[in-house]
Amino acid sequence: MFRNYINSAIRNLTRQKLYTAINILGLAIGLAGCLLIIGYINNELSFENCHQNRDRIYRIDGLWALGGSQVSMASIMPAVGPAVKEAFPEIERVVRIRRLWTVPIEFIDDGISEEREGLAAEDDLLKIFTLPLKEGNPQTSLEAPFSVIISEELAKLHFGDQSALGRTIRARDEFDLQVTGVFQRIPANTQLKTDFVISYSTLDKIGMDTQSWTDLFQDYTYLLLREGANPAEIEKKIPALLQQHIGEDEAKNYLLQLQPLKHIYLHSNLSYELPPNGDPVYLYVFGCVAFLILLVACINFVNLSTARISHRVREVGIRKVLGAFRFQLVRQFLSESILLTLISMVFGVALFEMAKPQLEAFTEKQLEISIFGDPLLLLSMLAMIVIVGLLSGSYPAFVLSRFQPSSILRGEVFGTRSKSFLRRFLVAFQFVIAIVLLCVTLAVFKQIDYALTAELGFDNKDILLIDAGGEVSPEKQDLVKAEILGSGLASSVTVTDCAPGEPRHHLFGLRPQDKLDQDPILLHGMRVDPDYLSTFGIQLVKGRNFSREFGADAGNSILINQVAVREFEIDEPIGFKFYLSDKEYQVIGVVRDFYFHSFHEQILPMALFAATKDRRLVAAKLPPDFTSQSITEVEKIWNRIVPEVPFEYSFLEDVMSKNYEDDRKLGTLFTTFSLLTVFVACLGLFGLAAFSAERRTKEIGIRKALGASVTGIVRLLCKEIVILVVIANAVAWPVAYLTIGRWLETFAYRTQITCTLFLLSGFLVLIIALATVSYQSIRAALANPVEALRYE
Amino acid sequence: MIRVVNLKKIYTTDEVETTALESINLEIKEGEFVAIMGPSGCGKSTLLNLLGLLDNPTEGEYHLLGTEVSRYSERKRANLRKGSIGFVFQSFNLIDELTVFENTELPLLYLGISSSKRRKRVEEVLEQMQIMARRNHFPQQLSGGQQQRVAVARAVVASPRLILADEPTGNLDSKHGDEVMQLLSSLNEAGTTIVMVTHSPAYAEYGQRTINLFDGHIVTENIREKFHL
Repeated sequence: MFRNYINSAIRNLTRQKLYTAINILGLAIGLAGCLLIIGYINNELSFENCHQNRDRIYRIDGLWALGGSQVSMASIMPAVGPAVKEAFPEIERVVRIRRLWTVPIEFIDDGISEEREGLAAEDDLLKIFTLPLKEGNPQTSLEAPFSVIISEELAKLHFGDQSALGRTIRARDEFDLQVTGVFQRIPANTQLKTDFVISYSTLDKIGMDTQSWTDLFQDYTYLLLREGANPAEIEKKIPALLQQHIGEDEAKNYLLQLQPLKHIYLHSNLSYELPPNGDPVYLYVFGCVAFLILLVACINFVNLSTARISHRVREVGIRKVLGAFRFQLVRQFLSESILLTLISMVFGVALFEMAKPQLEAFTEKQLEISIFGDPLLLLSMLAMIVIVGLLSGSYPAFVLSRFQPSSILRGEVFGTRSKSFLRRFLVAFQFVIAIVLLCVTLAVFKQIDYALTAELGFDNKDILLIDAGGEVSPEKQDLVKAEILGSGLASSVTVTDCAPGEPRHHLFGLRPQDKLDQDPILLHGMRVDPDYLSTFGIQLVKGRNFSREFGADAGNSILINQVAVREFEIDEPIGFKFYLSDKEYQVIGVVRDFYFHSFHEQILPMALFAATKDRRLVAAKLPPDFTSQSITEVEKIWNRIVPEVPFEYSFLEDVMSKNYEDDRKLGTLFTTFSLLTVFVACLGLFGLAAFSAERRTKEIGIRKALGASVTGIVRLLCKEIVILVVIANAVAWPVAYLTIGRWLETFAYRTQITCTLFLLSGFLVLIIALATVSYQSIRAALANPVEALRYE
Repeated sequence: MIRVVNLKKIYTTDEVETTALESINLEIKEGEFVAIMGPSGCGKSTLLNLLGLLDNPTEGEYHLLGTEVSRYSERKRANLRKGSIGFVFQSFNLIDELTVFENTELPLLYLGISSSKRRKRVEEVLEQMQIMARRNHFPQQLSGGQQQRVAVARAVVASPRLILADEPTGNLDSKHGDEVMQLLSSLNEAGTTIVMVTHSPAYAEYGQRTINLFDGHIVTENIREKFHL
């Protein structure tokens, strides 16, 4: 019997090639999209799974409360690690990890220097985390000062097939490190990614503080709890420990919490998180999109199958006359739709494999997914085949098998009003999905455009940023500045620690003069020189700028923004004093508010400090007509003054554009998936239009015989689609409005949701839909009426 | 074999009620060959559908093989149908996607007969209908006469006691029509009861009895003595 079903199914599918192709292509795209998203979600959820002890590893996070404001930090004071280890027996091991950022390292053997991301960590690192060593002893390799373990990639690059152990690496041109281990490739789905790790004990030897109870931003501190230990119990005991070490007054400003390792990547979004950091919102968003695209493909399936009922109805009638039970017919049609889904899945998997590298490149993530290597993905695939097959096959199966054989043979079953209502409803529903996705896509790009073109309060055009790192002395920085200015390459040059719009800034705890008895208030601060305002075109609204003529400016003058004046309720800002610990700072001017970070965040109170050191950036305002030659000239100046540090530059506009990288990626992904959804919906529409034209051949013939024009016929056939799109717009717009509103809430400063956006999406869908159906309609309208009537 | 008492069939659509058959009383004995005649729309096919358990009557009794079946559910009707009744239609009603062999095999599939027995029986019937050479052809590759022979083969393959034929020659030229009538006649001689709707008085002559219908009523019954040559 089953063979009979399959034979009949295959022959039916090959006979109706257009419908079969539409169904398979639509479903394959839907399934491939779904697989990609499931793979992506699975990858996001699998973060830190590579560590065997993952369920017992916790990180200590710090909450620092000062004067009503709070800062949550992923890193904490260095002294906490050893103290908790000593105090709480339920902690089996502790590792302090310090991020060294990018470090210039020189491989003595081949003399090659390069800059690499590095960490410093205690020797328990290799006992807590699963980082298998290819070479070296995991028990001891991070014990001794000046030890380093390096990545397999680095070892291969510099030492080839020879052992890396015992080799020397010179860091920052200051100290030599001995290679004591080589670690195997670290999977992409862990935050613990690095090129090398030096022993934590080295930090002491090079004069870095490892015992501080106050420096909050230093160490990521991970704990390995003993089996059965309760993290909440440990958290409860921490405040007492802090009081014991730093006194009651100070301790009340800190709250240290334990965060499970598995929770960090997706759910922890503190300051100074180790990259990369995921966002669960994306998982929900793309989960929904995956569901929608598959839903649209399934709707196609149902629509085309019910539309084609007329082709199958006789077969059903005959089978019934010959004694088929209803369940046998249901089984036959369901197996047919499962077969079709199976074929689509084969194509879907091929599409998935083709699109995977693109997605990896786009998300800049190595997706650790392979269909046959991942039981979850394989299972989802099987489940999808069965569920999609059953869902999309069940309606036609049950409808077809319900008819009385005698009515089927009398030809009374198809074309009933209720069925075409369902079909119209489903088509309209597809349009709703397409319109909502298009609206959201347009809104995402509108917001990004708004952010990039809005009045920022400063000038970000043609600003060249040269990274001086920490290695260039303040004198040399000033010399570079003077030379660039002198050469006439730039109209203004400043040396600072942060350009506006750069995603890095410092927090300073300041006490206003009228609230000295209270806790300090956190202010964003930048260290600048007198040319900062002119270089970035920041307006001074009150008072004066820093000046070299006022010798004391460098020590105790600050500029504040208008928000700070408002927030601290300062009546007369000029001359107002702030205190950083005991040091006094006097406000000499107020600058107009400018967006010193992305539009996701509000403009906060900010202070500019005049500084001659602790700066890392030379920023030059180039003329609008600058050429690559200008940059070469600047590079020459740099290389002459600072030959020991490579010339690294960027443009402020590019740096700022990175603030919206995630949003832009979201936009592009949305565009891709919404276009795919529209495409799949149109495939279905094309099939339906073909069916409709075929079904109405006789009607069209009669109308033409009675004198209807071609345009009249085309209008007749297109009218229904126009009505459906209009209804779909009415439903889609409110849904899109709410969705966009929710997304825009994540921005402190946002674009307006305008009518144009909705009208444009609706119009686009209408045009696409009309283009889709017009081919079939025109073909039907142009046909000879005699042919049509003879056909009947 | 068949006894029908006061049979009535009304079709109801949204606004219209049509009486297709009214006060039909009829008895057909096992082994009979009965022809039903009448103008278009007089209810011939409706009567055949009711006799073939493809539909239930609105009123009246229908006794088939001694059992009252007029209120049977679709499932029970299907069960009774597949073992005991074979159908032949004017438009052949073969499934286009199945070969001659597969079409003929269908009733046996639904009866749950094993594969080897099925093949034996189908081949036997195809031989009998002289269509064996075309066993792997699809319906659209056959002439009308050949298609109707396949339809007859399918009707007899499960060895039913009753064959209902709805204008089996309606779509055929006279040569092929004669062939089909010969087939039916020989089946009747072998003991199968046949009820046939036809427009052709000449083909009605193959039956022992002709029932004339008009506007849903039986108007006359002609009984003939059938002489076998």
